[in-house]
Amino acid sequence: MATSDVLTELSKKALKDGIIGGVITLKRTAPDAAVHALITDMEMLEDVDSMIPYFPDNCANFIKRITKVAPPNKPILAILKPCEMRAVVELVKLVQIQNKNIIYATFDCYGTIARKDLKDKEIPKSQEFIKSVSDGKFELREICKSCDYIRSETADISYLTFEKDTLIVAQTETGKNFLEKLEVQFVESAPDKGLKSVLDIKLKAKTALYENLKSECSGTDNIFKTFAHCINCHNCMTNCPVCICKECFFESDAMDFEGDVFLDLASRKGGLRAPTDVMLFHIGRMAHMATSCVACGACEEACPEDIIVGQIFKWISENVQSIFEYKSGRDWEEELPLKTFREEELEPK
Amino acid sequence: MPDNFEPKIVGFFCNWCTSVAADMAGTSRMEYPANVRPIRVMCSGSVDPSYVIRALLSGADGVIIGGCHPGDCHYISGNFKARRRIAILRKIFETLGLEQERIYLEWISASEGRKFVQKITEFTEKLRKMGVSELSQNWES
Repeated sequence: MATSDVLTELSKKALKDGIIGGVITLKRTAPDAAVHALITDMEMLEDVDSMIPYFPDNCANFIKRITKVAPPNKPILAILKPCEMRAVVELVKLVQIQNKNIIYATFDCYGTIARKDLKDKEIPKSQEFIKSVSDGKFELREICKSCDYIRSETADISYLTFEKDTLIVAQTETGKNFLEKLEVQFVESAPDKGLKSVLDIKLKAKTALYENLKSECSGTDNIFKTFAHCINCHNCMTNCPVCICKECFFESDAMDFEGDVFLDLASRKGGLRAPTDVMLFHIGRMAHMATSCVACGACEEACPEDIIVGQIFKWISENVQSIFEYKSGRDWEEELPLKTFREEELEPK
Repeated sequence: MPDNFEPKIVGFFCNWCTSVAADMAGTSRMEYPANVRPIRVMCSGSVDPSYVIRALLSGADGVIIGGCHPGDCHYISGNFKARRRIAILRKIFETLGLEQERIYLEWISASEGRKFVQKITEFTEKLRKMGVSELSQNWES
């Protein structure tokens, strides 16, 4: 059975046996669209393909919403992509998700297709997609092409595809308990088989992407050119799973001045661009959240001007996180770089 | 670049150390370049990176942040946090190909009036050599 079918069948069984109260999964709303949905009715799971190569938003946002007031009393099974799982881990560390009664399941992710590329087409079924993704039949999102986080080690359960079989891995006690109750066969550690060759390709693509960004987007002129189309809508920020401030500094009164101040700002350089503070917003946002960026590319998908903001943030955040040998969402225990410090480090030169 | 280029420097100085050191330099009648526009903050840890970015985008050629020596923070660990934040900001600048040398972090205690003068002079000299900041001149910021 294909992995996506295994996922659906097990979700149905867990619902039927009353082990869980609901399932969070991707569900189609149109041939070219799908959304994350919390499903409690088994019949609504009938045509579900949780692994379709589609990224409507980062599901961590939905889990944050569900657990915000109080986590559910009955477990919910959340089927997530590895990048969404990374965001969940970051949000738990940032005290935004109450990590109780959510069982996280992930799968090896082969990437997703950009929403704009799917317009008026059909999202391919996951089976068909996985079969021919290595032949280059599908154009992946840039950020997926170079994603080196295709398997999550933090989720409770990992569903892995091996040739025609599906291997279920319990990665935590919660996952083990769940699978035992379900009475399905599982293993407790994932074999590496097949992963390395995919990773090698992804890492090569990543190096190429960073090289390209370095030549196209670095330096004052190139940066302004990159963000030249920005309309300062803040869609990238609202869709970002780790941009969590209730009141954003860049939407606060700190951005408002008397008319005379605007005149003064304009007269310093002969003119003032509107909307104002575009560069301040982007570089400032990097400084605020680069340590937690999970490179899911939700920002880029949300950008109405097709700015490659996701690729830039991935590039910046990987460099920033490397200062602290940190990788966002990789591990439950690693401390957030901005929450801690060492007495002897980073002395200014 | 004009021969008489004088860099504009914005200084964020901790209330408990560097600001006092600046006072000390003044009362001791020591001279230092008038390029720096000091802003007194309660702690170097309260300087959000976006203040630094805004200064650099709005016409400053350099930003200097002055805090207490490690271990001496009035609020116990503010300067350690500042050190991480500035390291992050400088890394972002480095990656984006912007001049991270224009961001300067220095530990200057309340008694170090002389060090204050020396560091301001040093930074001003460095910025004079670097010339006008491209970032400060772009009107699209």
